[in-house]
Amino acid sequence: MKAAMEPQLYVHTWRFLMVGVLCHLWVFGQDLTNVWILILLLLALACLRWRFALPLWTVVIDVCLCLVYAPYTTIGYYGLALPVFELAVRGRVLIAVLPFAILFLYEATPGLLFLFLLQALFVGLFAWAALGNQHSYKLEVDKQRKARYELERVKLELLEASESASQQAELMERYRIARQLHDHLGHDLTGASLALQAYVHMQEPEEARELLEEVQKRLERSTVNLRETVHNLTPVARIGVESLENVAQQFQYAAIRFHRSGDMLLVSAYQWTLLEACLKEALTNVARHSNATQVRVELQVTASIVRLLIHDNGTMTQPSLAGSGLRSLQMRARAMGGSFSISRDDGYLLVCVLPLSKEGAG
Amino acid sequence: MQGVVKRYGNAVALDYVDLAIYEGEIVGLLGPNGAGKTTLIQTMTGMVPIERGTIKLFGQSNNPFTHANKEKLGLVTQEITVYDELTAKENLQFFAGVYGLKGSERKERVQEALAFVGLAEYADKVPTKFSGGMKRRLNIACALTHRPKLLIMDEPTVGIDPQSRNHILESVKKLQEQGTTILYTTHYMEEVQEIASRVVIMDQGQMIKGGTVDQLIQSIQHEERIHIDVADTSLLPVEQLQSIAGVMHVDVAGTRVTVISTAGSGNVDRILSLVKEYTGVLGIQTENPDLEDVFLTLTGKQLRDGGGEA
Amino acid sequence: MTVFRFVFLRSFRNTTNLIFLTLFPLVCIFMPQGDPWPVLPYGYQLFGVFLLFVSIRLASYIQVDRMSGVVKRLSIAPLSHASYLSQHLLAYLLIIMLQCVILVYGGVLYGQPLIQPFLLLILYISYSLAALAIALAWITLFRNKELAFFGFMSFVFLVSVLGGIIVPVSMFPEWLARIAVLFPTYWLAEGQLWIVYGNELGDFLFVNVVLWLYALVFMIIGSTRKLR
Repeated sequence: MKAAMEPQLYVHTWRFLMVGVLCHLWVFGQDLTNVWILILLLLALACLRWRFALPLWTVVIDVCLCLVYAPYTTIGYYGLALPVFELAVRGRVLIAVLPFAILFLYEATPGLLFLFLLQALFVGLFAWAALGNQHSYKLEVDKQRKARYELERVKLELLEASESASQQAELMERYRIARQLHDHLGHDLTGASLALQAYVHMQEPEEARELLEEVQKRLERSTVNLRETVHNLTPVARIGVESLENVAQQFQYAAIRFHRSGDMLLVSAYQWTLLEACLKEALTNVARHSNATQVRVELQVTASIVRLLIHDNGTMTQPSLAGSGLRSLQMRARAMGGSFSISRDDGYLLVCVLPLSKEGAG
Repeated sequence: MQGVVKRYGNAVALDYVDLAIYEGEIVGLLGPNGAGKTTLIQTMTGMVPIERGTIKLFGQSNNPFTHANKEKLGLVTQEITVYDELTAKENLQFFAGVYGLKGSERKERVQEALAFVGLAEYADKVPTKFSGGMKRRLNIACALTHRPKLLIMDEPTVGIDPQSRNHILESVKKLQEQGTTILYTTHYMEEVQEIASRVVIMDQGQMIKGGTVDQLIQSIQHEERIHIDVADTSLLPVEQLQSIAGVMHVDVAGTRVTVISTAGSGNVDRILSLVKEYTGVLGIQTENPDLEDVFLTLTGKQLRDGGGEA
Repeated sequence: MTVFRFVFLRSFRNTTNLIFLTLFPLVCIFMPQGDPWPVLPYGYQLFGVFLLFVSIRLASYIQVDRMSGVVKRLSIAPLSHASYLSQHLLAYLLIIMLQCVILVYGGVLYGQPLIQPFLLLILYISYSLAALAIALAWITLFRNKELAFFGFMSFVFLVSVLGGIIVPVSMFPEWLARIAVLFPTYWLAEGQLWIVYGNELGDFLFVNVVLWLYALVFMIIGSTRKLR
């Protein structure tokens, strides 16, 4: 009964109930039939208010009608309950009290009439409060939802930005390497090659020997340069597949097997970050919630995708299939154009597939 | 429309929906039951009021639902909304008259609309005698007499024979050629893939994604399936097949081997040539990801779950 | 005015409606007069009941529009809801007015003692306005066509009995007589009484004004736009 929770429904019902009270008063009273017109007109106004949102000044019409009939019948005074209610529903308490003043000008049997008008006032104020609350609640809820959506959008944008940043970093590295190799190695190796060519045609043994020495020097320099370059390149921290293997080795909760196949170098750094996060999350879940005894981790790299598969034989049911950690991983995988799926048909299976860009991660 | 919110009671039917429809395109609107498609159409045409957000119709955002703008709108409803006791021609005359067409112009347009949907011979018959497809065509014709600039079609091909459906799709394409902009709601992926220049997907009152059909399919890296009928499955080099780049799975059943790879891996050649080296190929079939897969990935739901009202 | 014209077209297509609508007034003309009550011949006394039935039958065209969904099309057409309703109501009113004219002037031709036929016609028309408005409000409140119709029949019966058409109000106990004033049928009966016995035109005007007020109230209720 969702409709029963709408305050507006009660406002409309109250109006018609009040007209009903006036009818009742007429039926069991002694008034003439022309008072019936007053009731019909008040009913018409109540219907209009039900159908359309009438502006507040229309209350004046109600008041005038009631006052016109007031000298002839008490129903006129009872009818003032309707404008009192309308004013109270709009929050205009002070003006709503005015009809009470009119009441005190009228002598006979004020008791019940006073109470009748009073209840109109209070019901109206209550409805005003209820409607106001409903309105601000809806506003608040909408604002929150909007903020949430903004947040999610920003998250996605950040993910994409970080992806492109790491790609940029990669490109910069490659450029640096290329330059270093070209400047030092390229130079020396070319020189060595030319010297050897000259040596082949050389007649003088003394000069020939000098040339050979030159070649040797150049080659030595190149070797040193190469070693240095490689040394500069080799990161100290573990990256790539080694970090995954490390994570797997440190896992002590269950027996774990790690298989890998394919060319690991094709996977780029930011993808390794995500794969590592996937593995860590999956293993954490196994350690915390599952009763698995065996975990199988497979890492497959093909020319166009890298696939990380984590399978355990646990049977403990978890409260939700995708906790927030897994959901965020799913989003990150999707942001990279990949996919992330979970299956619990046979133990617990987590598969993360990421596409590799065509040029490779080099 | 921008940031449109609409509630029914406490349930949010439209949740900060943004949708832009440009002139001359066919926009396909997909979504499971209860996604809010009908509510979207109702708010877009002014049938129900909105709580938050703005709607701009034909460039007019301040009180957009004037009579002038309504004359440029057309709606093909999901149910058959024609008068059963009037003939087809009279039905069209009625709706044409409501849009302000009079006299000879009205007669002309009625004839035009009848011819367009292919019901010219049935002009003087009552719809109770029509088949399902014909009724739908009449339904569409009633929305065309006033030559709307924006036509909204709410699942116009539900429950009709394939011939009528093709006819309707052809008509829709013709309409676009004539310059009508169309918003097309449907459960049927094939239709959207065939006619829509742009697709938007809705679920639970929100716009999930939009884009051209190709963009959407590319955005989910889904699978491609290749079915190869071979002469002798025992000769198949399964491990070698599995090691081809992009291949995720190889399945052998009877005389058919199915190779599932990631979309866009472009390895059909390699797979085929490898298979050919070992055994004769009798036939091949490829299955590309389609919008159903896109939909499933984005919303986790089937598009078609028993049909019914959106 | 398309809606207006097509209402006529649709109602004439329905032959049972046509027969019903033309036959009944003719039958009413020939019914005898009771003594001392009702003050007018039986046919004229009961015409009010008949008019209520006719109203709900006519209003069913709007119901069919709602149930079949044509209102959805019409709501996005350049046709305001007010225009739609008023065209329908105008068409219905014309149909009913025709019947009233046939009844009253047919009766005059036949020789029924109608005392003041023109004023009787005015009364019937005022009452028809109210009846149509009630039918409109009824179908707005009750969606299902069949349910609405049968419910209305019970309502008509109630209203006719309590309003004093079937049994004179003077035979009611005091409190029931007071309640009778609630019903528009009471005012029709009062109007008919005045036509035979009354002399102050103001009283007659009063009766008509009340009937118009009923029409107003129920029209406001019935003017809600429903799309389903």
